[in-house]
Amino acid sequence: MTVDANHIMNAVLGMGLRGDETTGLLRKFGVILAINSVDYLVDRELEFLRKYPNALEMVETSLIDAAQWCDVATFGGMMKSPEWEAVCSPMINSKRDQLEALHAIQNCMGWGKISSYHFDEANKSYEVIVEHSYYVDNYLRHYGVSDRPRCYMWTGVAAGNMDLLLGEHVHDYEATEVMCAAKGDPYCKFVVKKVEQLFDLL
Amino acid sequence: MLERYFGASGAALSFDAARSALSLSGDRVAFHCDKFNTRILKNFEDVMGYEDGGKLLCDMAASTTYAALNRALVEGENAAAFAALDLRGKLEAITEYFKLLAYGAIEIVELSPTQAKVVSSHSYLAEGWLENKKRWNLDERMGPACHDLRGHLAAAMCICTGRPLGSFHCTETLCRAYKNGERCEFTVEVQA
Repeated sequence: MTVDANHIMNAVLGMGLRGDETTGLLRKFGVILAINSVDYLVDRELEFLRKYPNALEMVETSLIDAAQWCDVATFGGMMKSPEWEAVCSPMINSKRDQLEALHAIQNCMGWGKISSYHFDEANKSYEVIVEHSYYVDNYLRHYGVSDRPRCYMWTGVAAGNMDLLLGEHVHDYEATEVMCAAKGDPYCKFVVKKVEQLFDLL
Repeated sequence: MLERYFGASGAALSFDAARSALSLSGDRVAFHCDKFNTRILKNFEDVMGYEDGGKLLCDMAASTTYAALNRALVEGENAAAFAALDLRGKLEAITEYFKLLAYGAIEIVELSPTQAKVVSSHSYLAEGWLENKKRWNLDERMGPACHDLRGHLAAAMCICTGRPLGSFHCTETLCRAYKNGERCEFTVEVQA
C-alpha cells in the first residue's frame, strides 16, 4: 500500500484545528499547536539576525537548531500519537512511507509545499524541494532579493526528518539550503547528510 | 464563539493546496508547536538576555498583530460589525480571535479606555514552557514567559481604542512559567 498524501491531508485539515472553546489551547498529535501570522514568525527571526551582523552564521545556526529540535520532538511525538496511529500507520510499511506521511502532515502546516524529494536509505541521503516557503514572500517584500538562503525553519526540519527516520539523536544529520527562492532561485532546495563523528574517521 | 461577532466567514481558516499555504482573514498564517516556540523563546533570551529577547518578541508580536487586526477588523469585511461594538465587546471579540489561534483563553478583569487587566489560565507559551521544562532540563526562568501575548494584547488595545501602534504597553505581572504562578496576569496601559 502506498501512502495517500491527500487522505492524510484531508484527515488533518478536517480535524478542525483551532483553540479549544474552554482552554483556548490546541492539543493534537501529542503537542500544543498555535496559529501564528507568518509575518510574526519571519519578522522575529529576521530582527534577531539584524541585531548581530557580525555573528550572522552563528545566529542562523541557532535558528536552524531550534527548528531541528522542534522537528524531532514534534514529529517524533506525532508518530506515537493516536491520530498518527489512526490516519497514517495503516499505510506505512517502510522508512520511505514514513517520510511521505511526514511530508503530507508538514504540507498542512502552512509552511509552504514540499513538492518533490529524493531519499536514499542505503546511502543515508535526502534532498527535498520546497515551493512557496513562508519566508520568501516576507523577505522579498521587506528586503528585496537576498544574498543568502533564508529558510531557517525548513533547514532544521529537513535535517530533523532524517534524525527521525535514520538517526538515533538530534543532530545526527545536518542540512544545507543550497537553493532559495528568496535569492531568486525558482524554489528552495535542502540537502541533508549525516554528520561525520570523530570516531567515523578513525 | 467568534462567529457571534462576525458570522462564520469571519473565522474561517482557508487552505491553498497548490501552495500549502493557510490564511485567516486574508493574512497568511502557519501552525507551529510548543516545541518550536519554546526553543525560539529560550534561544532569544539566552542570546540577547531576558529583557532584550523578551522585548524583541513582544515588539514583533505587537506590530504584526496590529497590522493583521487592522486589516481584519478596521478595514476588512468585519469592519462595520466591529465598529458597532463597545470597548468591552471589541476586546472580547479579539480575545475570541486569539482563542481561535490557540493562544489560550483570556478573561477580561478590568477595562477602561486607558487600561486593561486580563488573566489567562492557559497562555500557550507558559503551557509550552511547563510542558518542555523537564524534557529539556530548562533552567528556572528569570521572569514571565508570555512575551508574544504581551505584544498581541498591546496591539489589541490599540485597535479597540482606535489608537496607533505603540500607544499601549503590556506587562505580565504573574506567569505560570515563573515562580509557580497560578495563572498569567497582564496589565495593558497607555504609554506615558
